[in-house]
This record gives sequence, C-alpha cells and structure tokens, in this order.
Amino acid sequence: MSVTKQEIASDKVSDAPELVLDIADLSVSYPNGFLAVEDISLQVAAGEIVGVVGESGSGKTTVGLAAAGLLPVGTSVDASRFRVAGTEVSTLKPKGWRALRKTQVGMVFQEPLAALDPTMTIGKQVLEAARQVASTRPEAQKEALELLDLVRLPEPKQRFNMYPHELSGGQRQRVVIAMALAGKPKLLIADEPTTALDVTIQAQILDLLRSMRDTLGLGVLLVSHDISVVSNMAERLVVMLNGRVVQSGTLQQVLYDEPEPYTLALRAAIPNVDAPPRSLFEIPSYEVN
Amino acid sequence: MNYTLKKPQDDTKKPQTKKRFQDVNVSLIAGIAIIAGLTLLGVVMTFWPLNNPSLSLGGRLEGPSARFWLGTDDIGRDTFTRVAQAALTGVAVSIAAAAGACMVGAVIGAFTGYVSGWPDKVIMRVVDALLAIPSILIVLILRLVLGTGVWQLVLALAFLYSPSVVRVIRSTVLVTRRSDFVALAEIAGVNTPSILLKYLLPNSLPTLLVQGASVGSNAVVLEAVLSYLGQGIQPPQPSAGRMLYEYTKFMQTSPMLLIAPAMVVFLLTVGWNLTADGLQRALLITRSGVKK
Repeated sequence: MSVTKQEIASDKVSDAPELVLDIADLSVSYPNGFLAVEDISLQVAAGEIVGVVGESGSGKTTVGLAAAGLLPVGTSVDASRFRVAGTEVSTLKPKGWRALRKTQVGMVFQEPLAALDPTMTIGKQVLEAARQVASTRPEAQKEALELLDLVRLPEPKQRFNMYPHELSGGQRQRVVIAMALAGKPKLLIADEPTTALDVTIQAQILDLLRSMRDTLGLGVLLVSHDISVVSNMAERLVVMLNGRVVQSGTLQQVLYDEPEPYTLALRAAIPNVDAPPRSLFEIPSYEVN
Repeated sequence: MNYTLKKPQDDTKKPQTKKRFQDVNVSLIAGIAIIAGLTLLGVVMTFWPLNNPSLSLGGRLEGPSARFWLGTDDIGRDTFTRVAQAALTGVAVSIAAAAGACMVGAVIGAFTGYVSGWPDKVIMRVVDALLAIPSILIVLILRLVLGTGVWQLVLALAFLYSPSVVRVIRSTVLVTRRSDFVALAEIAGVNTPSILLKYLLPNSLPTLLVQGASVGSNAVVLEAVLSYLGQGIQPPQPSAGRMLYEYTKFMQTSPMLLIAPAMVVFLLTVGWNLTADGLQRALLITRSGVKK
C-alpha cells in the first residue's frame, strides 16, 4: 500500500486531535504460523491514554510490539490501515522503522532491570538515546540530565554515573521512561509498565506517566493484564481475547454501561478487600468464533 | 505474662565478615600467579641472564651445579636460562595469539549474531569448515604462506583460534540481542555499530575472557608442537618444543634437558586453564547466580 504525502497531510487536518496510532484490521502471525492478533482496530489520539487489557496470550503485547515495529523477523503483518504518527507503516522497511521510532515512538517495558544494560551507567544509556536526536554531545549531555530531572529521578546528577543494579525498581523504571522520552515521541507504548513493581511504586510510576501525558501531549498505549491499573489511567479501553477485540470504547461504556460478558468476568476477578471472604473468581474459558 | 521491650542492641560495630576459604577464587589466583611467575622469571633471565644462553660456557651435558642450576646441554649452554627464556616466549606468543583471536572473533561473532540472515549463514558455514579441519594442518599451511617469524606464528595462531571465539560470542550475542535494553536502544535509534560495540560486546566480555584464557592454553601446546616440528619458534631463540626435539637423544643420560622444557609447557597450560576456570567462576557463574 502506498500513501502519498498529501494523504497524510490531509489526515492531519481532518482529524481534530491528531491520531498518533491508527490501526484498522490488523492481523499478525508469527513465523511459526501462530496467529497472535486477528483483525483488530484501535486508535490512540495525541494526549490520550488507551488501555489494552486481556489475559495472558490474548495478543495485547503483540499489538504493542507491532506498533513499535519490534516484531521478530519473518512475522507477517497485515492491515488495511496501520499508521504511526501519520506514517503508514505496514510496508515499512527496518530502516524506515528506525527513522520513525527515533522521533515518534517511545517504549516502556515490564521489567526495568532487563530494560537497562547492566554494563552501562544509566546516565550513559540515557545519553546514548538523547544523542540520536541532539546535534552535539554537550547538548545531549544536558538533555540527558534534563530528562532524568523530568521523570523526577531524585538527585539525577549523583545517579548519572550509577549502574542499574544500584537503583531501586521504581528509579530504574523512571530511567527507562526518560530513555523513552528522549526522542520527544508522540506515541508512548507502555507494556505492563508497573507489573514488576510493588503497589506504592506502581502508583508513583502511573502518576508519572499520566503527568508526562499531560505536559508533553503524548498518546499512550497502556498494555496491561491489570484491569484496575488500566481503569485508573485510561480514557478508552480495548478488551482483547484470543487475538481479537472483545470490546472497545470509553472506560465508562466498556466497564459500566454496556460490558460484554467477558469484560464482566474480568471485573469480577478483581479480589475485593471489603467483600465477605469467598474463593477467587475464575474466568471461564471463552472461545472466539 | 510479663514482657518487656528488647533493649536496642549496639549495632554500630559491624559484624566481622570473615572470608571463608571457599569464597577465595583459588583457581584464578593460582593461574595468574603461575603465568605471572613464569613471565617474571623469563624477563629477569632475558635481561639479566645467569649465564649467556647463546654461549658455550660450561662443559658438555653437565649435571645441575651451583653455576648451572639445571645443568648444560650438548654444547655447554645453560639450561635454566634457556628454559626461562623459552617460558617467556611461550607466555608472549600465547597472550598475543589469544588477544588476536579474541579481537577478531568477538567483532565477527557479534556482527554475525546480531545481523543474522545470509551474512550469518555464510560466516557460520566458513567457521564450521575451519573448525572441521585439523588445527595443525591449518597452521602448517599458514606457516608456509606467511613465513617463519614470530609475528607470523602469532598471526597464524590467532587466525586458527578465532573461529571458536566467533562461535561462543555469537551464541551470547544471540541471547543478549533479544533483551529489552537492546530493543530500547533500537527504538531510540542507536545505529548498528554502536549497538554492537556499546551494548552487545560489553555484555559478552565475561564469556570472551574465559574463552580467551582457554585459547591461551591451547596456543601454548600448539606452539610447542609446532616448534617440535621445526615450524614454530626458530633457533637460536629458545623454545620449549624445539628443546624437547633437540634433546630427545639425551633422554637417558641427561633427563633434566627434557624435564625442564616439559615442565614449562605443563606449567603454562595449567596456568592458563586455572585462569580460565577461575574467570568462569568469578564472572559467569556469579552472574547467573549458580555459585555457592
């Protein structure tokens, strides 16, 4: 599929809040033939947080990876429309992805310790990311410190020369977020950003993500299995099951107004401290047909 | 029941952390000590020799004495000084060969592991082919092509051992390249050479060091074999392999002439192997948390 510059330009004018991620009928099958995602559609506008929830194996992570162009070599991606920050990406070559991601896409992974190189100081890692967009080295240096300050890493100057293992989990995740923001992206993909953190730190990181969205006008794709995290954060929600979208819409619609049975089951699976003791709710297995 | 608050203990004094014997990396210390000791001995004997090793100072095939600690050879040269110099040559050649093999092997291995696709397939088939040919054959051919100097020997050994380094480094890079931090670097737009040099190679360094030490051990033996065959270090420069060849005929009358160079090869090999073992314990096993 070829998209002319004019089409992209006209898109930007017509869509009131710019769509930073626009997916229609996306199917992804892995090299081993496994169809991980089938005919899903979702949009993320600038300044909006869209949550993708679903159980393990529902394809939610695949959607996140696809939006960052990080699917393994040999994966087949098929979509009638797949735009990241206005650029059609379904036919993009690795080189094009590289250029696009540098300035348009940021990513935050689940395990902050794995997302940081153990052999490099955190300052150097952020610097490395900042250098890709800064014109000079001193400028990148300044930019890296500002980024660490922006994500509210305490005492960034002292921590600049520390290694990842010297920081706490929450501090590490802040560094990862700083790296994700280095290219001033329009789209931030957060794949289970708080799953590896304990509850109080979780709240801090979510708060940080929300404030980054507010100050930088990011569109955030928040992928999580934790429906309570997502419902605290997202304006719109996409519920996935077995590679398909079960339901999507605003948070109110999906969770309260007209929930599908599967969404109800997800909600019922959240244990409630105030409720009388009972055995944990088990989500029945659904079949998609 | 009566109970009181436990009195706060004075914990300003840090508990003595006594190092247990099993925590000391004996292999690493012993290995490095052996190699360093032989190097030191060789350096001393090269610059301030007990007896000039190229001159016939003693009688023919003398036994050990106060002047000639390990006796003399068939033309009256001091065995001890010659053996010590041979040890230094062995250390130098094996370190240079290991360093060369590691540099070439690491760069190629990291490249082929990261880029994958057809370059990977081509390089790995070449590596397979090189590993399939007996090493002595490759080195003999290289000696014919390159010539007989010491540097040519180092070059030949480095070439010979780089495929094994390529193998090992490629396998670690295959694991590292899938990690989240490499993905993040890619998202940020870091280019391929930087990812190779700044992210993948540093993470392969522990493996590289261990492999390098085991290359050193192999290089010592092969250098001795080559010198024995007359294709290694050329006389008059002393080398253990050459001495073993020349003095075989005196095995019954002056066994010290054979024992001394054999000990040099033995000690160097043990030294390298202990170093490799110790490095593995210090770097690899601790990292994955298997130690203790």
